[in-house]
Amino acid sequence: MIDPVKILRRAWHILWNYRTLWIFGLILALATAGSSGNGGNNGVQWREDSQSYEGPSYSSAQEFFNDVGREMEKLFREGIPEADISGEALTAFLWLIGVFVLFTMLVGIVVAIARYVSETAVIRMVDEYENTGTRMTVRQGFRIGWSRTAWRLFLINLIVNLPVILFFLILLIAGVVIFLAVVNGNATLTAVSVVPMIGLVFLTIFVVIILSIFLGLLRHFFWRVSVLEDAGVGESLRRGFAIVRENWKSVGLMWLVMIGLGIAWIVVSILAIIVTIPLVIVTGIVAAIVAAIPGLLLVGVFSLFLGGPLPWIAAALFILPLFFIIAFSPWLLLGSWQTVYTSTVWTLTYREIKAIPALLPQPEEEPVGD
Amino acid sequence: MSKHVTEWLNAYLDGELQGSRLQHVETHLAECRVCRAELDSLERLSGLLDEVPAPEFTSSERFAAQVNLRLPHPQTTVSRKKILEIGWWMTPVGLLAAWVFISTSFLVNEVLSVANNLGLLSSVSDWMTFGAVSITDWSATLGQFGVLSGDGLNWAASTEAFTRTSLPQLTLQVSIALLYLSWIAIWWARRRREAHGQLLEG
Repeated sequence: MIDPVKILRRAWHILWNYRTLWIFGLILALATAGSSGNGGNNGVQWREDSQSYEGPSYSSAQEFFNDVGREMEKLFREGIPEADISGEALTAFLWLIGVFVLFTMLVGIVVAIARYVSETAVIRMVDEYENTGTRMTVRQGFRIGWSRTAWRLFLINLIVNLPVILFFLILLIAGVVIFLAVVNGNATLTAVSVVPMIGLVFLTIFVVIILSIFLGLLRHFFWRVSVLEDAGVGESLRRGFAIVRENWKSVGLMWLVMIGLGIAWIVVSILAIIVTIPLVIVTGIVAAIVAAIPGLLLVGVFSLFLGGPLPWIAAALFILPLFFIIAFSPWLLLGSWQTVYTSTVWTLTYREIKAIPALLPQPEEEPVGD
Repeated sequence: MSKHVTEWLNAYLDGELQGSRLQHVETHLAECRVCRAELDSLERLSGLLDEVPAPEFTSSERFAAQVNLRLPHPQTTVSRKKILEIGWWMTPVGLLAAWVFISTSFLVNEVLSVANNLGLLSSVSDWMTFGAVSITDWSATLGQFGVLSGDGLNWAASTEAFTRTSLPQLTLQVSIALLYLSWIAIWWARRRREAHGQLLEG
């Protein structure tokens, strides 16, 4: 059985004595913040909307979409005269939004690549530090991170998240089908059909959450097998699962402790966010100054083909991510510490588990023959 | 005549002697009357003992088992301890399961609210129309009676909506988090005590 406290203390020591890891932690925090999205909607908004929303009622979905199409056509033909925006400018703005979406997708791909390279680098750097006591530079870190393993980590992550992705796709498709059927009058939802449906949805969500938690735990080991033993995707899944199954007590204990630590971290980070607000105001001013120059340049460029407030809106769209990264860098650093610490803890756990058989007393070999 | 061999006679009688020792005893018995008489008496005694019916002796294993049965029952304590130990480790797992259950409930409630907002549940009985029930009853009543108005009424409505919708979820999740952290704190304390105990024993 492993000693979680020893691992936590060692990971803490590594976090503060190996600051190159923070750079990779920043990338990870940035990528995780970008991909996690907003899952904390508490439902208030929906209810408030339900009380205040009094939109037109449509007898069929076809009519609804036709109406929306007509409105859009009118908007792009006439523009918004109240805001001094012509139809042409609005069309150009729409194209610009398209460019922005492409730009965001491109940045998303770059960030995703950087994420998996950083994941690989952090795991390898911690392992190397434990093996030889060598601290690598950022450049060396990127060099060992930039490998086929980073691609394998992406594939493993995709496989691990597959049940959740599939579930949401099925839920979305089922929702759209039911919506269209009811709106078009092809089906009527009654209490008899709704109650089992609620039960089924509840059970499915429950199972999917449990499954994703379990797979999330396994992923730590899949990744480490892949990075530290240079195994392929299938081999990593097989060996990672075998390690967890054989050492389920140690892994389970570490997992429970890490969840507790995660809760404690939420409390600490809320306090830290409150305490660092003055610092964020300062970095916000710096961010505004830094972002102002390229932002104004973009306004100038966009003014060539856009009118009214549109150049400012378009420039803000492109420049806001840069502004947010600089402004919220203190909070990003907090996220960086958390990701590096978590990764280090699981790398040390993996190493410890792998070392257990070597530490156990070996059975005496019986002499062969006389 | 050599020294008497009385100390070897029992072994000789039982056929346990071999080699030079056996030869020495036999040679001595052929010459020594005293030792022969002693051997005769031993043979008679052995014959007498053979005639007496042998008592039923309890085997050592059976004896140990019987003693064990008469001892206080430590097994009950062990099994109770084991149950407590399992319960101890299942506590955080149960808390996590409760958290997942609560989160799922609120998630399903949100899905139903969306469905209701889209008008999908309009034909379903009133008790199932999620989200359609007013969540600002008290503030609306206060507004109707003129106790509150303007910003005060809006503030009261927002507070009431938050209290009815988000607060229960928040309270439950914070309670689970606190219970979980308490478990971690107890685990930590137990671990320290065990380590301290091991140190003292060492």
